[in-house]
Amino acid sequence: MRELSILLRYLGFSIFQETNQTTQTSSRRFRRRDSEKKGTRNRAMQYITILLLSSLPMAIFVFYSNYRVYVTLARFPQVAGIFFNTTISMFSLFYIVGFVGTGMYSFSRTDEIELLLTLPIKTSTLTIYSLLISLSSQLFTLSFFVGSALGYMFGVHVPALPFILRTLLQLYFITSLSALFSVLGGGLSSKSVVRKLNVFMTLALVFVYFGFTYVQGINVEELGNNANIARWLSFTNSKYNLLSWAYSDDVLFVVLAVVLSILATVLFWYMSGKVAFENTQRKYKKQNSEVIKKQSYASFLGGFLWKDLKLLVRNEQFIFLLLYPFIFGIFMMFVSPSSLSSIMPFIVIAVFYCAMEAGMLTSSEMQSKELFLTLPVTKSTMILPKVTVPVLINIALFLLVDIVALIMNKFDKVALIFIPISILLFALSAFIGAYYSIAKPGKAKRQPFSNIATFIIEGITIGLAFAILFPITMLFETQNLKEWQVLTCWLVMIGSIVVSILLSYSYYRKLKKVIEME
Amino acid sequence: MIRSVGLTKKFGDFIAVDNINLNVNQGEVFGFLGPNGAGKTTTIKMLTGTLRPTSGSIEILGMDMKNRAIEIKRRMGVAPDEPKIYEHLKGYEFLEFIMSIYKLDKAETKVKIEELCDAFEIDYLDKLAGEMSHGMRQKLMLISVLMRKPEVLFLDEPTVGLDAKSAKILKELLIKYAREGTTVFMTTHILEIAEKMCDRVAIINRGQIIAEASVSDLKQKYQASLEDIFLALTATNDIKDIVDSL
Ligand SMILES: Nc1ncnc2c1ncn2[C@@H]1O[C@H](COP(=O)(O)OP(=O)(O)OP(=O)(O)O)[C@@H](O)[C@H]1O
Ligand SMILES: [Mg+2]
Repeated sequence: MRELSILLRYLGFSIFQETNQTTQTSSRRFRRRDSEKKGTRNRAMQYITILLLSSLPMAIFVFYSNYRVYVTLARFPQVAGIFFNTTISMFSLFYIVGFVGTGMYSFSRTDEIELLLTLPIKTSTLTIYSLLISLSSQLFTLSFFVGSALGYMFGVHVPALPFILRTLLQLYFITSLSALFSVLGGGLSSKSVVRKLNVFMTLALVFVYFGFTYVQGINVEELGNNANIARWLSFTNSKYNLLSWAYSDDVLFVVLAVVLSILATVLFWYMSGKVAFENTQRKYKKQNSEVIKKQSYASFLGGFLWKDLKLLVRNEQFIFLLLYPFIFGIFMMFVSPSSLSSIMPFIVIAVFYCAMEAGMLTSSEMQSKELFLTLPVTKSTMILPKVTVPVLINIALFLLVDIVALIMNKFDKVALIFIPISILLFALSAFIGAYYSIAKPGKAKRQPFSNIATFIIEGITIGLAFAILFPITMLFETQNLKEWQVLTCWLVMIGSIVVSILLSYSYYRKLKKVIEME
Repeated sequence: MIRSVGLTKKFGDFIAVDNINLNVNQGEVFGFLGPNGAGKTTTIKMLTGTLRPTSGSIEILGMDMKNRAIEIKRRMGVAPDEPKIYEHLKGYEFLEFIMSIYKLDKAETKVKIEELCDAFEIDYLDKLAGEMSHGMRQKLMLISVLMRKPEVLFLDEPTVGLDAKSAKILKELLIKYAREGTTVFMTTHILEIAEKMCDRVAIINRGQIIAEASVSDLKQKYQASLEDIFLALTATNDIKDIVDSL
C-alpha cells in the first residue's frame, strides 16, 4: 500500500499534469517534476479535483434529464424500474468495455513501466497502479452511471440506504470484473495475435451479451404499444442480465453479485502478481534476401500514408475504436424500426473515436519527431494522412451501416442527410484530435492527449453530434410536434452545424500553427 | 559545404550554443568534440534542421537552411544519438519507408541494403523496431542513411553502442565516403577515433568553440596527444587530484 501511494503521488498523477507550453521537451518535464516534488501532493489533489469537476457538468446533466423522466414514470414504478435497469446495464457495459479496453493495453512495456520494473516494487503493485491509471479514464462513463442512478433514486423515491448500498455493490461488481478481464486479457497474452483476438472478443461479447438477453424476452405487451422499444428494454431486464443483479428484487441474485465480485477480486489479486508487462515478441527467422524480396505498396501509396495504415492494422486499439461503433450501430438496427436509430449512436460514438484515431496517428509521429524533421518532406505531407485516414475510414463504415440497413430493408431516405453532416463532424474531430495530440499530449505512450484535453474533445465532438442529430431524429421520427418545438429543433440543428463549421476552421488553423511551431 | 554564422540556441535564459561559426569543406571528416552537455547535439540538431536556432544562419551545400530546408534534407543524411524509428514498423519496412520518401531506385537500393546488412551483421529486418535493442536500432538507422549515400553526413556519436566489428567497419566506410567526396560531420567522445579519422576538429565547451584546427596542426602546436590537449582545454581540475580524492 505504501509503495502504491508513493507511485501514485510521484508518477501516476503526473499524467494529469498540464503544461502551458505547446512545445515541451522531456528534459524540461523531468526538471519540472524534480523541482516540484514538494508540491506534488497538492498537485495530485488539484488535478483529481479538476477531473471530478470536469465530469460534474455531465453528471448533473444526466442526473437532471433522468430525474425528469423518472418523475413522470414514478406513477408506474415497474416501468421506471425496467427503464432504470436498461440504462444502468448499458452504462455498466460501457464502463466495463472501456475499462477493459484501456486496462488491457496499460500492461505493455512503456518507458514508465520500464523504469518502475527496475525499482524494488512488487509486480502486483505495478498492476494495480496501471489499472488505477486506466480507471481515471473511465470517470466520464462513471458520471453517466452515477447521474442516472441518483436521478432514479430521487425521481422514484426508492429507499435511499439500500439503493445506495446496491449502487456501491454494482460499482464494485463491474470494477472487479473489469480489473479481472484486463489482467486476463492484457498481462498474460504475449502475442499480438492474442491481443487482437481480445479486441474481437470484447466486441463479440457486447454482441453476444445483447443477443443472449434479447432472446429471454419478457412479456412485451405490458410495456406499451411500441413493441420495438419494449423489446429493447426487455433484454436488459432479463434475469440473466448480470449487470442488473445488484438491483434485483431476488436476494439470490444480489448474493450472486456479491459472490462474483469477491471471486473476481480474489482472482485478480492472484493474477496481478503474474503480469508480465511484456511487449509482444515475434519470431524473426527470415533471411534478409527473403524479407527484401517482398513487394509493398510503400512507394505507391506514399511513405506516410503507407506507414500510418500499417499502424492502423497493427494496433489493436485502433481495431477496437473502429469496430466498436460499427458493431454497436448494426446491433441497434436489429432492435429498432429504422436505420435512423442506429445511425445516431454510431455517429455519436464514432465521432469521438475519430478524434482518438487522429490523435493516436499524430502522437505516433510525434514520438519520432526528430526523425521526420530530418526527412525532406513538408509538414503538411506528414499531417495529411493523420486527418484523412480516420475521416475516410469512418465515412466508409458509416456507408457500410447504411448498406446493411438497405439489405435489411430498414433504410430510411432521411439517412442521406447524415452523410454530409457526418463528413463535417468527422473532419472536425480529426482536426481536434490531431491538434490536441501535439498541443496537449498525454503522458502515457498509449494516451494521445492529456486528460483535460480528452474532456474538451469529448465535450465538443459528442456534444455537437448530439446537438445536430437529435433535432433531426426528433423532426423525422416524432409526430405531432408543436410549432415552437419544430422551430427549436431547426434552430438548434442549424446553430450546431454553423458552430461545427466554425470550429472545424478554427481547429484547422490551430493545427496548422502548432505544426509549424514544431 | 557546411557553414554556420553566429549560430546560437537559448533554452529560456540558458545559452546552450553560443555564437558558433563553422566552416566544413567538401570531402572533409570534421570532428566535433566536447564534454557532456557542451552543446554538440544541440548544434547538430540545428545544422540538420531539427531544431530552430535562436539566431544565426546555416548554409549547407550552398543553400540557406531557412528557405531551402527540404532540398537540403533531400541531399543530407542524419544519424542521431537517439535513433527514433517508428516502433510499429519492421526493420525492412522502415527502409522501404525511407526509400519511398527519398524516391530511391528500388532494385539498386535493395542490393545496397543486402551488402550493408552483411557488413553490419543485421539479420533482424523482419523484427519490429519497438522490439529492437538500442544498438540494433542504431545500426538500422545507420544503414538507412548509408544506403542513400548522401552528400553531407551528420553523425552524433555514431560508434556508441556498436560492437567492435561494426564500429570498425563504420569508421573505414566513413573515410572511404569522404574520399569519394562526402562531407562528414561527427561528434565523438572517443578521442582516438577523432585523432585517427578526422581531418579537422573543433572543441566546444559550454556552448562556445574553444579550439578549431586540423588535427596535425593541433598536435604540432601543443606537442601532445589529442586527449591531453582536450583535457587541458576543457578540464578545470587536475584529473589526478580528482581520482585521488575519490
Ligand atoms: N530541450 C532542451 N531544453 C532545455 N535544455 C536543453 C535542451 N536540450 C539540451 N539542453 C541543454 O543544453 C546543453 C547542451 O546539451 P547537448 O545535448 O547539446 O549536449 P552534448 O554536447 O550533446 O552532450 P553529450 O556529450 O552528453 O551528448 C545541456 O546543458 C542541456 O541540458
Ligand atoms: Mg549529445
